[in-house]
Amino acid sequence: MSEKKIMLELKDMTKKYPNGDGVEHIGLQVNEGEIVTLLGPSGCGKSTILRTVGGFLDVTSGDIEINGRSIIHLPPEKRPTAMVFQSYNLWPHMNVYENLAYGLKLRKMPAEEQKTRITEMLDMVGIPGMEKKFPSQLSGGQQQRVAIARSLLLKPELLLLDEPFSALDAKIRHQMREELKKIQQNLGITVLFVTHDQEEAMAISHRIVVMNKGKIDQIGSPADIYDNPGTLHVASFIGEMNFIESEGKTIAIRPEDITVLPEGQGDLEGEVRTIMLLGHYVVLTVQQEENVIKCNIDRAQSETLQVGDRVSLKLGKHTVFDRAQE
Amino acid sequence: MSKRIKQLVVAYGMVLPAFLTVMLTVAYPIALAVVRSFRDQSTGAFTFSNYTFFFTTAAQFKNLVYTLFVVVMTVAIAIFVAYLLALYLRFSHSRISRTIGALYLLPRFVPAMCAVYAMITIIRDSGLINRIGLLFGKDIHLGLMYHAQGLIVMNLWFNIPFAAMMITAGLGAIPDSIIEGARDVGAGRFKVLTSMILPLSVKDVIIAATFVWMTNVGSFTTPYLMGGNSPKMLGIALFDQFNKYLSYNRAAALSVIMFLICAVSAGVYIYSNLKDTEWEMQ
Amino acid sequence: MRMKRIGAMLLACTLLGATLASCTGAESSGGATTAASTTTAAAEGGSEATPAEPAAEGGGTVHIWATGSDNVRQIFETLINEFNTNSEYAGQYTAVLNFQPSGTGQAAMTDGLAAAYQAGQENTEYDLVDFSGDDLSKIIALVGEDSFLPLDDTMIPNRGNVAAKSSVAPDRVQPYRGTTVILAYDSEKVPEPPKTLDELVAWMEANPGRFVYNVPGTGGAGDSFVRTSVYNYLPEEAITSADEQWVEQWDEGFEFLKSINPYMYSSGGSIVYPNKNQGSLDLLNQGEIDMCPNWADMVLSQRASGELRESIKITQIDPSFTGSLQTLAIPTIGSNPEGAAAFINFMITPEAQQIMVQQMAAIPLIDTSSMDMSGYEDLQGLDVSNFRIMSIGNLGTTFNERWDNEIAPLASIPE
Repeated sequence: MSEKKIMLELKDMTKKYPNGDGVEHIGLQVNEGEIVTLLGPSGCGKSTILRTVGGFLDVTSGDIEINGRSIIHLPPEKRPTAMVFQSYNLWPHMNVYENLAYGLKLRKMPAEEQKTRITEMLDMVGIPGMEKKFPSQLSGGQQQRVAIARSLLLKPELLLLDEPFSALDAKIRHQMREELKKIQQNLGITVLFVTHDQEEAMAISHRIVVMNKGKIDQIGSPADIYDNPGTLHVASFIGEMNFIESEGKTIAIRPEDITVLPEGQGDLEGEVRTIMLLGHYVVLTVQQEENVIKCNIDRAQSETLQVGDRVSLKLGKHTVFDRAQE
Repeated sequence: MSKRIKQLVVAYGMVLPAFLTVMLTVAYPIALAVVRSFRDQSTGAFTFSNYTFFFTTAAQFKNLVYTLFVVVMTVAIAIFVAYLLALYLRFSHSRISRTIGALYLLPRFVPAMCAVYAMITIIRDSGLINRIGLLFGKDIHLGLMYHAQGLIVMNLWFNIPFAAMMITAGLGAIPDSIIEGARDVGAGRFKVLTSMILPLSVKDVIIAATFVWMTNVGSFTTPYLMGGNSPKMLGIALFDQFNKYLSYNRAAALSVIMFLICAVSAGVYIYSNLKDTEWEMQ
Repeated sequence: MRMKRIGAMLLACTLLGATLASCTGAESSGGATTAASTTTAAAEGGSEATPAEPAAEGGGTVHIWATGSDNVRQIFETLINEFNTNSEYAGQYTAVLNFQPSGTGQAAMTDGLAAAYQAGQENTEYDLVDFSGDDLSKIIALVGEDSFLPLDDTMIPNRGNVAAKSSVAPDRVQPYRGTTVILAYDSEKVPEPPKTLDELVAWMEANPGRFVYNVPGTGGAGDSFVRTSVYNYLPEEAITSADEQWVEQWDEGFEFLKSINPYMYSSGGSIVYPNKNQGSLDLLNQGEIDMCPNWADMVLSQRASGELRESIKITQIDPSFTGSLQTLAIPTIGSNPEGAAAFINFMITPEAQQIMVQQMAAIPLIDTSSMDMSGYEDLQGLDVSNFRIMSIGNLGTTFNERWDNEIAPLASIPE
């Protein structure tokens, strides 16, 4: 990664709203050709960062650079960024072709070239021949494809996506993720992506920025974040996690990192509470003192257990947090 | 079955009073007026003369042209100013804009009479503006009273808040993200206005213009108190016909003419709705 | 979206309809006024004109009928109170007012009285009736002079003190106050007001834009100015005639009105005639003009209340503008002629006359030397015996229409 060129850099950027909300001291580097996801619960400030990069919000202090050049004094239309919004926000009074051509016209591209590029782009996003349709005649997924196409047509240096798939139903959402990743790979474009869906973040990103209450909690690759959560918040936000209270400490361990053994052979003793079959694996909950611990086991093992059995849990990979931390 | 009948009875029972009221107070007088307008006042015979009178008599025709002039100017200026005001209210979030937003409808609540007299005391040749001018040694004669310009100024007082209210509602329905999307792909503020905000609010503008047009064609109080002797607004000309000259049939004809002038704007409005842009079809 | 649109269209149609309905509504109500008020008045006359209760000890109750605006009601209440408590008749007669506000059906009182006559009623409560010049002409036309008792000095001892005579039924009605259209002027700007019409025209020509009269049909002062201007060219009898023949002779008068048009008040580069008596009076008070015709009582009472500047004065020119006399008459169908005569006699005492001067700037009809005229000295200069009374009936409509067609357009903005 180190040989890669830095495309976007946020330098100690702060944006405060009049009511005191906002983000503070954000430092972030995004490399060329990378998908970086800002992940966090709603209100954590992830969209705020995206909007300051896009130029829709002023920064209170700090700087934002793209390719080493400060952009904070540029209006949105002068920034080398393109944004895809959660609400698709296609222009309802223009058909698909007009929506796509709008930005190209502003750049004074010859009509012939516009046409070629738009046709190509519609092919690429998988909705060829839709030129004459109006946004209201398209499904949500189609609209978002048009919105992405509209942004990509402008060949931005940085593509900003603000929860682009959250309004789509699950199936379409998965499909769109894959396509976005494919398109990104083909074009080698840099993407800053915002989502509150950790699964989506894991699926799509090279790196994830986990945010909490206006601050960055942790930056890392999906595996990094998943395996070594830096804070209790990251641990709780990403994937399934058991928090076991013990001697003033909190042990964070994922269900798949726990091995269920016969009584007396593991680290913690408990009693089986529930057994749930979830397809190819089984989720077992075990009552251990105050804690209810979730464990993933395979089906073969589950058939040897019954509710009420005494079992012992062996802890695999886990992280220990001081309780006072949160 | 009986439940269905009951529901029908209730439904029609609820509509009936409104329907009868409309028939009695609107449809019936309209029909009477139209019939009367084609009758000679003294003989009762069928005639077009009540209509031709208003187009062939120089003074009456002038009234018609004058009314159209005042109304067109009122609509144009009121809509233009209201649009600017609505844009400001929609896109500025300053304290001033919030204050204006809270206050701009107030003129609608001032009784017409009071407002007109208040305006007269300000703009008449010996009014407030003249007196302020005199303090600085300038004898300002606005010359607004008794002229179209004065009427237009007064009409603007009444109609700008009204038009701004309708247009503000329309602009409020345009999401920020539409504008941000346009800014994002490279449109400057002016381009955003012409390619996004205007096309998306043009219907509200047409509705507002329609209402301003209709309420001003028949206006009476303002031209009665502020208008000149000739030409006159049609509302005053109508008053003359039935009140001064007791020419009820001509008055009926003029009513119908005014109705048709109002109908022009209703026509524009309905056309703009029927033409129905494809993008609004769900 | 669709619902909203349908709603808006419905609203638009309703508004449209309402425009037309309001036009025609007003029009038909205008047309129906006369007929409707006649019927209601007849009904009222029938029910109210029940025989009066037998005269009480002394002279009994006198029912007085009057109509007009609220200041008329106020003056009658004051005068009746004075009559009942302080006059020589106090204790002998008790006057009661039956007042019908104008605007609620203007002809209601005269129509009611006429209906009572036509129904052959006798001994009614119509003891004494107050008439304006127009109402008097109308009632005489409806029921004839004989329907009112002849008046003489024995019944009304003060009658000899009044010089003014009604032009209609002079022996059967008693004038008790007058008002007239005069020339109101700003004495600061016009130290020596014109005395004749020729002097007035000369002054207008020398001071363009400083004179105006209100639009005829919107107030009596403007009516009086234009009508006297036209009828000055016609024989004296024409002014009290509704005969169509006189219409042909208006041309000269209208030429005169056209000739003075350029010297009228102008605003914004064109000649303007204001609406209503108050319109021209406001212009005078604001200093936008220096002279205008107006009603004497209107000018003086507004000056007394401070609404008009002190420098605004009134004068009469020769030939004079028209005026009117307010008269009282005793219907033959009344039930207390003695009481009625007593009230008439009271009304032309200096005490009553002074109340009318001070309270409504009426022109007194008796010698003012024994009266307190402070604030209303201007009234003393008005010669009531010289009143021109105008009644041209329906010709008034034709007259106003001609003015609107021939004079008003001259004032138009050159466009």
